[in-house]
Amino acid sequence: MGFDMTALENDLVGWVARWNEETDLVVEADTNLQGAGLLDSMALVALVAYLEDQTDTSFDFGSFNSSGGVTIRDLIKHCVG
Amino acid sequence: MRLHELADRYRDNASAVVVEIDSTGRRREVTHRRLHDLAVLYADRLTAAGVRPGHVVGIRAGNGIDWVLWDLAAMMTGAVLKAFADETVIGDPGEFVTRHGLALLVTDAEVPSGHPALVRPDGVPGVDVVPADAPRGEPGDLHSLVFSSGTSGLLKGLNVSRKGTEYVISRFIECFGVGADDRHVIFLPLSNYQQRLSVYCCLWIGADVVLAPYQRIFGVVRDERPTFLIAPPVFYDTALQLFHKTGGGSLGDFLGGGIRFMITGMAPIRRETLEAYWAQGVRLLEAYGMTESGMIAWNTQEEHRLGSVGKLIDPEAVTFLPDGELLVHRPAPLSTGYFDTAGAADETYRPDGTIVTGDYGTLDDDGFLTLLGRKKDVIVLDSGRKVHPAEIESLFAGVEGVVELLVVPTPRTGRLGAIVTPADPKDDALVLSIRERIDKTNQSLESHQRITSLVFSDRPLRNDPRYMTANLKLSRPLAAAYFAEAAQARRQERAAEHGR
Repeated sequence: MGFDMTALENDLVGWVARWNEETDLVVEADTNLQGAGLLDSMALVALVAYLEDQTDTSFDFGSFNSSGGVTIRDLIKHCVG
Repeated sequence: MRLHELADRYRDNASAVVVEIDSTGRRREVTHRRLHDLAVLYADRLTAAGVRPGHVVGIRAGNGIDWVLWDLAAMMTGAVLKAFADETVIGDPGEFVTRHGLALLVTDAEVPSGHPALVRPDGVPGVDVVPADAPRGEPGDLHSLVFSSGTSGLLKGLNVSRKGTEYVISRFIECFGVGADDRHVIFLPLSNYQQRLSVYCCLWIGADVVLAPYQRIFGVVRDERPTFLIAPPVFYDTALQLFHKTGGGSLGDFLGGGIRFMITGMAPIRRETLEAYWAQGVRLLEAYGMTESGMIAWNTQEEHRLGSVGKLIDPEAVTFLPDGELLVHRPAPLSTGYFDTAGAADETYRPDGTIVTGDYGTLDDDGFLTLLGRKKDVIVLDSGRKVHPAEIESLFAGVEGVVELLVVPTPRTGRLGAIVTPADPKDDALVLSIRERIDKTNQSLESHQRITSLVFSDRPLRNDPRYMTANLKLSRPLAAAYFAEAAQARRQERAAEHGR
């Protein structure tokens, strides 16, 4: 299934921005979400649940390497890339 | 509820199921009857491996049906299960097995293969692989060996009692009216004993139980439609925010549509979160307990009061020291003592069996318990007065425009300071009005209760991983360090301004 990656990135950037609407933190597709303090671990789970809904896929946490930080681009690539 | 009758309860149940969802989203389902058949098979494998009554079988693995099967199989053989947390480092398997006195170790960890007493959760152990020197004890009332952060925050090893397990489950069934129509989702590790209590409970009453990794929890709740859930506050905070930002319909529907009640504990929950759930018709009930004693108080569907942790389960088993600390002395506590105190002195269990909780609380006229704070969190002021930060925080709970207010000791003056997160940190007028409202509240308090210094934060510290313990609770020492650093930066800034 083909996805418009740019649109998906923008959608998730908007989602994270809305999640942090009370802060000045800037969100971009390659922002380290947890390192920048944008999402805690449970909020990251919430973001992935949203991503799964949008793409109608199941995110494989078992093979996802988050040791270097998690970005929106990484999540999308792992999910549908 | 009787553990020795558990297998007889679920062995013929062909309608209730246990569901496993793994980290990839794969789903596996077995009926209770099938679970029993498999547990018998696993028990036979334990016996063939050389496991005998009184041996200790270790398990360090992610949630799944196999985890439950090894637990049930150990029960059938009379062995004691020693449950290690997922993050436990095994290192040298042989040394690990010997150090922990194990007859067998079930693990999904990446460890050097070749040790005969190791088996993967879905594997078959070899024949007669139990080390000859594996210790065997007389289990008696000992049901399992578990690890918990305990009353001090250190990871301690606890002897879990069979009678205590049966007692807690029986009271839960009685007070919450759970039965065969229920469906429960578990997403915290099974190495956390509360989750095993839930599994035994569901097998006993014939309810469905769904095991999932926490990473899949939101989708699982929606798809599996649990009727009750037990989770820490961070789950409820996040679920609420997710619902507000992306959900449609009602909160109940967002949570699968089948929820009868939800329980929170393990850490304080924000009052606004509780109120938001109740406003949406979702019964979110706060409870209080510890692995040492078992549950101590809980709100139920019939008797609940927001802001309290509910009524005492056994009022006659709880006493209060003059300073408000709770002591529990019930005939069948969940744990009978520590087998490993992580090097700390055991100050929790008194010789007469009384459990010193380390928690301060107060009962209202109707018998609802409100927790005031933890003993280790008490702030000793320069005046020598002792205050509970949570109690002071509750005095300022009504200040408008505040998302979070955390009370900490001031590092230089030995008084009270606070870290305040405004609803809109960029709104200078709001920040000013918060200062004024805190001043006004201060005037109605005794001098030692007043907040004398403020630091503003753009984000709440609770739920921020940088300020949380491994158990997802706010670390007050880290919050105090944040305050000290911010106050120091402010002083330097002011000094620089004066120096210009």
